Amino acid sequence: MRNAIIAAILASVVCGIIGTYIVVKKIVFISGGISHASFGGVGLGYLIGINPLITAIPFAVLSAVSVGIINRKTKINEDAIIGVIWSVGMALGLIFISLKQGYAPDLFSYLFGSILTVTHSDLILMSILDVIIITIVYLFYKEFLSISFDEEFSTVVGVPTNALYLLLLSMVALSIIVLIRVAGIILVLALLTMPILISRQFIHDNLRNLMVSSSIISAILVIIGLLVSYTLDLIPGATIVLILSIAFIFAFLIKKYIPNLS
Amino acid sequence: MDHTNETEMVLELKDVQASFDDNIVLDNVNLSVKKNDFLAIIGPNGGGKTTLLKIILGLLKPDKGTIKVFGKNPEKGRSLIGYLPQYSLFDRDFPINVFDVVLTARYNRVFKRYSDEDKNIVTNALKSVGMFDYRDRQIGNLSGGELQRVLLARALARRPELLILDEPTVSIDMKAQNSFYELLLKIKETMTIIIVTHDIGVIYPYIDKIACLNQKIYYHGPKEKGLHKIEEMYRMPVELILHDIPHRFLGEHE
Ligand SMILES: Nc1ncnc2c1ncn2[C@@H]1O[C@H](COP(=O)(O)OP(=O)(O)O)[C@@H](O)[C@H]1O
Ligand SMILES: [Mg+2]
Repeated sequence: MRNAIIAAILASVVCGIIGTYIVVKKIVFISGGISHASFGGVGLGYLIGINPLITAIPFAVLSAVSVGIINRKTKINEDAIIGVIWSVGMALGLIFISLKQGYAPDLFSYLFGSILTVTHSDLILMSILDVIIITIVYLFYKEFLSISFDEEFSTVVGVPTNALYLLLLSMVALSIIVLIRVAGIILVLALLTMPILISRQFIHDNLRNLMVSSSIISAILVIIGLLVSYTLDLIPGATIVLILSIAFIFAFLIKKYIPNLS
Repeated sequence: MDHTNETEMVLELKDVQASFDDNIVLDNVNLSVKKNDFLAIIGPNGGGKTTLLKIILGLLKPDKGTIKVFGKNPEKGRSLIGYLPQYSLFDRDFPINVFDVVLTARYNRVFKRYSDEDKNIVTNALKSVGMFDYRDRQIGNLSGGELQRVLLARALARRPELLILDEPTVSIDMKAQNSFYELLLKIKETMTIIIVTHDIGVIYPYIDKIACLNQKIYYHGPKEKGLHKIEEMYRMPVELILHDIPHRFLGEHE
């Protein structure tokens, strides 16, 4: 349980930071593609017998960078590329897993999360990724803000927009790795969007505040979800997602009927 | 700089051709702008005006031709340009306030924070367009006219030597339009301006030169000589196009 709570906090920090970019830059669908593509890496980890979170990193980052490059340098429809990497990643993962003889016992946990079984080495990996993500966002905050707000204008004032876009997508990829243990490949998008949608009901004018409040909201709700799933013996990943949705509905109603709050 | 300033070339385009897919949008465009010119580019919708500006800014690449901005290629020269785009595609709900939007214009390079001087420049730019009191507003909480002023401040915060405005008053009401043009009149003394507009009638008194663009440049030169070209392009008599201009303006330079 202690590991689970630490994992919840590590996950919530990146949810708030990277989730904010995903929501304001409207790259939710790309993020879904990157997440599913990383399943290829999970399968590879199984096959060669190392922590699947580690092998998922290059898959996530490479698919992020390739979507970004294809998107910027060709005229191929972005939706279509995302669809391709999404399913190719899943297919690769399945093939890797089937190559390994025998049953893959906790495959399910990578798809839907398994925060209660987070290991010490998972926590170390998650912490390292957290530090990388926070450092990069700290160093490139003004560039990320500028390209998220108005990419064309950023180009005119000399921001290297394409390179920074690829860097941002790579941060999305790393944040997905951090979240896989908590919510699983299929449910990570909920964690990367709902805390932000909730705090956005009350914060309108500052990206940094949105990040901080989303992280806090995420940590509270994920821990609540964790406790609920523990007491009621429900699947944690799914329970967390449901708690997030209930909170979102509440936030929406509060904003709507008590408008002075914002 | 030196005494040759008055005739310094700000912009020079030679034989520029541009196309989307296989449709030629700009054909053999030649254009030159000197320091302190105030040039209006006019022409029908789809005539290639926005494309031309984006080529000047290095946002689009021409098929052929050369572009010199302050004697350099667009990627280098554009650091001296302030730009107010025709369509600002940003999300009106984006979590950013007016001040920070204008501050993005002060971008210098990676790892360099915005300095106090940058912030002073932003403050002055906002004051010069009368929007300093709105500095803490979320960017979507502005009227159309207020937003255009803020975006003008963003262009000015570059401390540009050339200001490029693409149909800046299309989406705003008459009153806001007039005060926008009054602002331009003040700015005009300090920099070169290129404006794309359909309000040739309103802006005529302020400008020096006209370029008529519809895939090709049909006319480029002093505004008085361009009037008959405008007449052809809009298919209406000059008196109607310029209906709201007092007659003294028309003969002013003759
Ligand atoms: N991104 C684009 N892709 C394809 N065609 C375009 C694109 N942008 C502009 N065009 C076409 O180029 C022509 C010129 O457009 P534009 O430069 O926006 O004209 P204007 O600003 O004079 O109204 C139009 O026919 C327009 O449809
Ligand atoms: Mg246009």
